[in-house]
Amino acid sequence: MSNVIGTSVSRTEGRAKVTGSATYSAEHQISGLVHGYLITASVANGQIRAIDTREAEKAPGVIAVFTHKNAPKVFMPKNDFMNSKIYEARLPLSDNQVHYAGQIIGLVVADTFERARHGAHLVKVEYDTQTPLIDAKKVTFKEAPPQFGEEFAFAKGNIAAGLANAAIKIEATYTSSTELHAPIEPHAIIAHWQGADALTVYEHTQWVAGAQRTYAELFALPAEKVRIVAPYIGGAFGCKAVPWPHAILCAAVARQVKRPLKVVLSRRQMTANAGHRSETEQMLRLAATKDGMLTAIAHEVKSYTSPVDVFIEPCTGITPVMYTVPNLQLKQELAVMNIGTPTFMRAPGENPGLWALESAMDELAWALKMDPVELRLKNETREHQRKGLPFSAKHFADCLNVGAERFGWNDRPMQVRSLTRDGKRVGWGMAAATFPGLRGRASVKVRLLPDGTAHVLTAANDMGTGAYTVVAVTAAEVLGIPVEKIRVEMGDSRLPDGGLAGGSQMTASLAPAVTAACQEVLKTANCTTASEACAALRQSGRGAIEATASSAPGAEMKKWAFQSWGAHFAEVTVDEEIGRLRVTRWVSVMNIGQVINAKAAASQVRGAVIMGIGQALMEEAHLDPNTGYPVVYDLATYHFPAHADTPRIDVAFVGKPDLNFNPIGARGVGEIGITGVSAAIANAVYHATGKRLRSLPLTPDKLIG
Amino acid sequence: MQDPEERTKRQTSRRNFLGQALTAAGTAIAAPTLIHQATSAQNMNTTQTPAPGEMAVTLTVNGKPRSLTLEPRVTLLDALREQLGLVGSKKGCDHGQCGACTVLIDGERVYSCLALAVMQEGKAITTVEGLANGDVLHPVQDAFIDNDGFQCGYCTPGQVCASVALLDEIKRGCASAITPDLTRAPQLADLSEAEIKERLSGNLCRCSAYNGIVAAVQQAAGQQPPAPAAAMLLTEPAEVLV
Repeated sequence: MSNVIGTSVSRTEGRAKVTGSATYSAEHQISGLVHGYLITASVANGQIRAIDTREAEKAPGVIAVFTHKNAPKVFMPKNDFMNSKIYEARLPLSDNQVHYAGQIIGLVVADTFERARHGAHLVKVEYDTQTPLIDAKKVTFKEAPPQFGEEFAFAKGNIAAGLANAAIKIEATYTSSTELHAPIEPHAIIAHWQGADALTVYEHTQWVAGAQRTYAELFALPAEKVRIVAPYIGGAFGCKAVPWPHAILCAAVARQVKRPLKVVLSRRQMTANAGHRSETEQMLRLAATKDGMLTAIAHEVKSYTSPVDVFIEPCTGITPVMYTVPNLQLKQELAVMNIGTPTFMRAPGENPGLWALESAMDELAWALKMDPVELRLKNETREHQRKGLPFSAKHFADCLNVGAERFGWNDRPMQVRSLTRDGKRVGWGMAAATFPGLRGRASVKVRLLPDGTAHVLTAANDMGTGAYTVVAVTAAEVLGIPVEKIRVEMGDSRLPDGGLAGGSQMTASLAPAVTAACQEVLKTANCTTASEACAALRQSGRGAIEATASSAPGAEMKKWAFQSWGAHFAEVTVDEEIGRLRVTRWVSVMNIGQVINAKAAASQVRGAVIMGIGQALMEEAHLDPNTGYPVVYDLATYHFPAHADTPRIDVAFVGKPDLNFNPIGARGVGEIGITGVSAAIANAVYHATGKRLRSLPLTPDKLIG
Repeated sequence: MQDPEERTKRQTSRRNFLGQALTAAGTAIAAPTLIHQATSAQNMNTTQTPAPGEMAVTLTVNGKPRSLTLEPRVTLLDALREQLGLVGSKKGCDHGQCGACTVLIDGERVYSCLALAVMQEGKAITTVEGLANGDVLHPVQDAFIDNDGFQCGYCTPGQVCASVALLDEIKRGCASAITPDLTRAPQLADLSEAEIKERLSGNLCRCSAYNGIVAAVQQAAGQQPPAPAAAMLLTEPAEVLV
């Protein structure tokens, strides 16, 4: 063992990224490549009456134009999230129906990007239109169906009695806005057919093996005839897990035109066609005894989906894990609107769910005249109240106590409008953070070479998480050789299935598989150390020793509930004259079990907190209430934090391995950092101003005066 | 990267600062130049014969002349990425909103998605691929790696180029919108976090590696940045916490 796990290691792919040699999806150099540009609907609800492509077809450089009238054949995949998954269940160009503004209605192929774009603008479309369903107040809600096999509705105890008999009650409705993932790399794909029955797809995907099977099913090919190449992903946050309609269309059209085809979405197209986080409306009722023991929580959630697929923002997932409560009731409702299909976005459910619950807990603390840290410590639950299982390696109390100490929380006056600085109101707020500890099956191949280096190969991926380095550090630890001597290859479906980079599970899935494969390679070599094995290799003249191993969760899932925990402490300033809110100081303490790379893990939390600051202060996508067309459609209209909006984020980890979870004891860290952030800020705003804001984002109009 | 003589020629002045602000604000003011450049490009003797609607141009990229034919509507960014195979400069928004396409033109930072390729003849274009000296990275590139100034890496080439330009602007005495005293521009040694953040706010990072990027600029400016790693409460595998 080289004791490299848990230290601070620079990213192994850093040199490629700072020199511009890291290759992202649209950047693979392929000869004979042609370009596609999407034609998108300018109405939100209707039918295409006529579509005239003649002028486009005659334009210089245009090779072909595809619409629903000549749509290439695609097969519906199983779409069960086990074998395959697509983001939108309606296949592109399947008929003349328009379900939302910006929906893809065609594709122009040309020899250059500029000519394809020009061609797309020459296509004339006539529509029959109906009034779109856009207004959240006018839509019909129905009980949300189960999602990925899990029911939403849940009840324990007697909620009516719990609420009726309480000394203190809080009842409030919290809303969150439609948010865009907005990765800096736009969605992009190059589809390259080798003949009509073998396809190479260069596309960022959070799930390499899943993408391979999905494209295979879309074109009725055996999986081994499809290769996915995704060495680098320019940010994903949930919106690059499986194919969107533009990608399916690109692959289908590439086969038709018999040329490698590249399609890159414009920012405007991404707004409609590449997912978002649904806005939510959450009603919370909390009841407590005079000394602050919770007696009831009722949590009712409304979210929205598109006419062509179902995605429910699962906000009630966090409610049974946070605080002990004898009477609990959960309910989620869903309405269909003429909007694009929402999807997973960083901590789906946990993020808006904790926005509501942690705001309500703060309201309760003020009603009780109790420190909000104390209220949380008092009501901490030792078990998952829905699964009925005890939490493994929790340390939530450590996060709260250490965070309070690092922030200086005990100096906080228990009175609103009590702090000022430079003519501005100052406020301190806190909130809890949580995210489930997920883990999946992963396979890894390790190859030991005579020169003392090792290759680690897996079809996992690194979308900025630090996975390349996590794999290298883990292999270095087990093999006892320096990180610099480990070469990691990922993001290619020809490598062993590395699982899904989603639900913060890649590290938890990969690290045990890397460990197992490294141990296996030593066993194969019949050596106890890598240096011994390499010396034996040199002596024998053999080229390499290889071993492949897999790792998957097992019986421990039935004994324990695995969940990561954290606490955020925030300072804000509010300039009430102009309604300007700034986040000026931040402390986060997280328990994610064993930390593998202290540097990259800290960056994950910092990045997530800053994304949460964006959610709290500015992120909000709007549709025109009459036409349903996005009025927020690019990075000038969709604001997220820039350098000047971000304070330095102080991050600490508990660092104790959760060995019940996996042999490394590591849980994921990609999402927990964003949970609770918006509540901590709104709670700080209340402390600063005495204004309880329950609707995100906390824009100046809500803070002025 | 840049001729030192050329560097000293550019005077420290408020006018210089305002000129930069205009460059960043948009390309509309450059329209007459475009016509001039297009005319001169057409008059040039080049080895390539442009197709109808295309022009032959020679761009000087990372010190090398690169001849190509392209339509006048092609942006510098698309010319770099699609024609010259220099994909280090990134297309993030294509509208001058994110900064991922930032390159240096005659030492000034420019959003290459807002610059037309045909207007760049005779100028020295430096992309992220041209910053390192062989295997030796530019100090800003090293500093980004040391301070974890990136995650997914897609905005990174723009952040790196902008940071290189930022340091040069400080050396030239350029003010920013938040510089308190315009007669006394900040020096590298006392460049504040707020100044760095202000001067890099034209480069968005959705992973929000902002803390690391600011630390990287501090390191490259000769300052001592805060450590990039998180604090570990438990450093020994012992039952310290219950």
